[in-house]
Amino acid sequence: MRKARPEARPPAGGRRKKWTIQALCFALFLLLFGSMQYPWRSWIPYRLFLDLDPLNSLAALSGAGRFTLLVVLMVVVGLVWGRVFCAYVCPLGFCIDVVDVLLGKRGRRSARERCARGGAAAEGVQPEARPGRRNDPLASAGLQWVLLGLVLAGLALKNSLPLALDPIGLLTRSLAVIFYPLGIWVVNGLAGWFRPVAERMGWYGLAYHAYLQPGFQAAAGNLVLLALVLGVGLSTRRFWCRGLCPLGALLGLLGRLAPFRRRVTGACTNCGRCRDACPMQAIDDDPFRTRLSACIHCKSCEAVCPVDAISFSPRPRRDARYRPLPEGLSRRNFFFGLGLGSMAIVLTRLDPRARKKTDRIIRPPGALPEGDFLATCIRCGACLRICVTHTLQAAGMENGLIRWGTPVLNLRIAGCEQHCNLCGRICPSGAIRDLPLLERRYAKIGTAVLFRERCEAWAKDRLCLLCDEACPYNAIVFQPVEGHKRPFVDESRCNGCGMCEAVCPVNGEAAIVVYPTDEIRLKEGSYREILERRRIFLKPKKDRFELPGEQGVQANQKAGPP
Amino acid sequence: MSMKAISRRTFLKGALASCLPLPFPSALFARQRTEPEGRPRVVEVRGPIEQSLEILLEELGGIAGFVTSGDTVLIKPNMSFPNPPEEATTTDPRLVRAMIDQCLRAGARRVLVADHPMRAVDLCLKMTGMKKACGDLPGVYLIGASQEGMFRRVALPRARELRNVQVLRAALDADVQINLPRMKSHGATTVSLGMKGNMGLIWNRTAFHSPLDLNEAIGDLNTLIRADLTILDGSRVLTAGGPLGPGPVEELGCLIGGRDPVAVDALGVRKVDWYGKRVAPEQVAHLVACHKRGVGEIDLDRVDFVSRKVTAL
Repeated sequence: MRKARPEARPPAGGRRKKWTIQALCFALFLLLFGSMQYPWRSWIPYRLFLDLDPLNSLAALSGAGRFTLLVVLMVVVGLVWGRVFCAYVCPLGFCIDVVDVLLGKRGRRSARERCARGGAAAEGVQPEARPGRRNDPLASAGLQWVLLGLVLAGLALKNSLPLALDPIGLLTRSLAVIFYPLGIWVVNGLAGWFRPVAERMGWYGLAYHAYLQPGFQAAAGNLVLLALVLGVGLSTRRFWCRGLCPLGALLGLLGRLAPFRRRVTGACTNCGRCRDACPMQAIDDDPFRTRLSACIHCKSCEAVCPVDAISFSPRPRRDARYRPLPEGLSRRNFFFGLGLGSMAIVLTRLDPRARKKTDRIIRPPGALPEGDFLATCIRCGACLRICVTHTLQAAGMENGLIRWGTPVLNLRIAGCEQHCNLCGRICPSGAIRDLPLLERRYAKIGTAVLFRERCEAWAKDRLCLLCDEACPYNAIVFQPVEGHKRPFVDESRCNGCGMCEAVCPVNGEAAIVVYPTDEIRLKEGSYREILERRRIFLKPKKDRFELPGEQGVQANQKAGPP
Repeated sequence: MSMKAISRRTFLKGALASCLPLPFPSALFARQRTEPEGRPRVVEVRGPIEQSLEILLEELGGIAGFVTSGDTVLIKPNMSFPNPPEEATTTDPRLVRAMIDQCLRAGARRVLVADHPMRAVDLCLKMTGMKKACGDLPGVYLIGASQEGMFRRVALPRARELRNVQVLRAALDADVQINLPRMKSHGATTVSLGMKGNMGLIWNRTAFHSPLDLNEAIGDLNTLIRADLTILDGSRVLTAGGPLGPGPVEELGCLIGGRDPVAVDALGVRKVDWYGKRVAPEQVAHLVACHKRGVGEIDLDRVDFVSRKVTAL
């Protein structure tokens, strides 16, 4: 006999608590993101969320040999409470929940299905619990296992490109390249409107405060990706978390061992409310069955249960039962992902744009050798955010898909600041080494090449000399030639910082351009020693200040651009 | 209260009318300049910065001759690069602080310490020591300009090449302007003193290098911006490798100040050897350009020169 369907309890308490914790965690995430700026304060845990992420830690461990203790906490929590991170902590999860509410996707059943079930209930027939029925086609398809396989294949083949799909990194990067520049644009615009008023009122601190406008490349690609991640919510709630998120898949694996799991007592009336309430579709038609790798412990089911039959305790009340539901985790899916990922990464490697010879990109100082760099960089975009001059940009597809989202310098926008090592300090994976400021000065990132035919001083006899004025390493020497002061690059002193390229007044491509020639990329050890061995003097000696004779410089200067 | 509805036409008319003065800002904000009388006086004081400044101002008639009660004072140090003062590329923050104290003592309502740094603003303000030196004083504002909106386009009626230029609004609106440049060498203009330092108050410096001629443009700029008081920070001098260094630093240990900015610069040029050579003020093209435009006196024979030394108590 089917029991009468009692009135549902109002979903108060637990749900509200969940939203509060989620919102607080998201606020903390935003706060930490916002505080990523000069000057560095060692007491701020800038990378908290990224350090928590086990996938990021895997990349850091395999690429740079870096290990943080926070991830142990994460694994322990995963082993005890399963995917509780997804429900309460994950900032992207919060965004998805909010978007889902905005999209109005509260239920998950099609109207026809509801009618069918209602009809069956009206006839007093209890619907058969069909064992093993795959009630969530998405989770059953097991795409998340494919993606997890992809990530692991990437790590094994020394490329972290699939980690661009990691939820924490994805959100950090999206903030850095989309919302942060937009926000600055708005704030600066408002400040500009308000400036005359502030001046009149004597609020000079306010009137002359402004933020450097970042302008990030590859914002469009990120916007599309983020829109997809959030937009699939149009289909069903938490679509990304259920069916795609590789981090969710990894935590779901741990969740299968968790003692805290959803258990149901015999008081259950099989009203189906828990099933409807579950955002992860982790509950079967048979309400005793739970898909552990999908359950995020949000306790929506517990909150809506009219007879209090559901609990999450490791020591269940008598007759509280747990029954498994197939995870959609098949060896086939996982190996399919591994295979697909390996193939994709090999293909991106074969892309001619990804070859050494064609690559003209400048990496930040302290970046690991390119191979290790690509294996380690998780594309989180924290370095883009914190860069003081915003010369750091997310790479688009110009240098191959393999480099998408990695930090490259756009020296035409701004140079790389000599006294700043923040990108290395913030890097959560160790793809950019955390160098002391002195050592960072010796991390040569390229060499400037002067194109005389474009140069104002050479081609038009102008007293330009902006490059000399900007060069922090005195690598530009001015010599009178034919009665005019003209610039020469002293390559033995050039750090490649690109201040010259940034200030060059020529329109379009600068007359002085930094190429990655002679860049120094070290996995470990001192840049200073290498430079001294190569007889490169980034810290000039006093006697070198005497302007050398014209012949001396001519001999030092290579014959024109390549 | 009944409000009379404003028709679209009236609104647009009003909006347009209020925009009318925009192309002619100098007409709105023309400033009165007090020209020095008789022979310009230039004072050189050797010794520790604070006492030197005291004596220097005394020789020029006291700070009261420059700052009166209720004034808004603009101090323009060089804080263009994120270098410590020991590298002699930026003004010593002790000098800036001493000057601020003098202004506040003279009754200044507010003191704006402003420059348009060439590098990351936050970094410059911190590494030059300016933030520490004057960040916490009430009525003192440290301004590192970084937005075009902080500048206002002004016409230059007395200029030869430069038609108009965007100048820091605070500099245009201040009652008193005090220039505190660091004495240093400069690859393009040989020296960077008071005249060259005023380029820190404008927005588009690139245009000065190209298409304009740098020396002539500096001359033109100084027909508009004329500090009431210029004091060269010669505590240390970067004699080569400027303006950013690194380069040889000479411990000159003096301040050079006066009302006539060209005369002050001219004396500054004579004080040390630049790039290992003796340089005459007449050899410095941008000083000549300023002199030709009537900004000040370049001939040191026509200048009253006072040299003092801080005596130990």
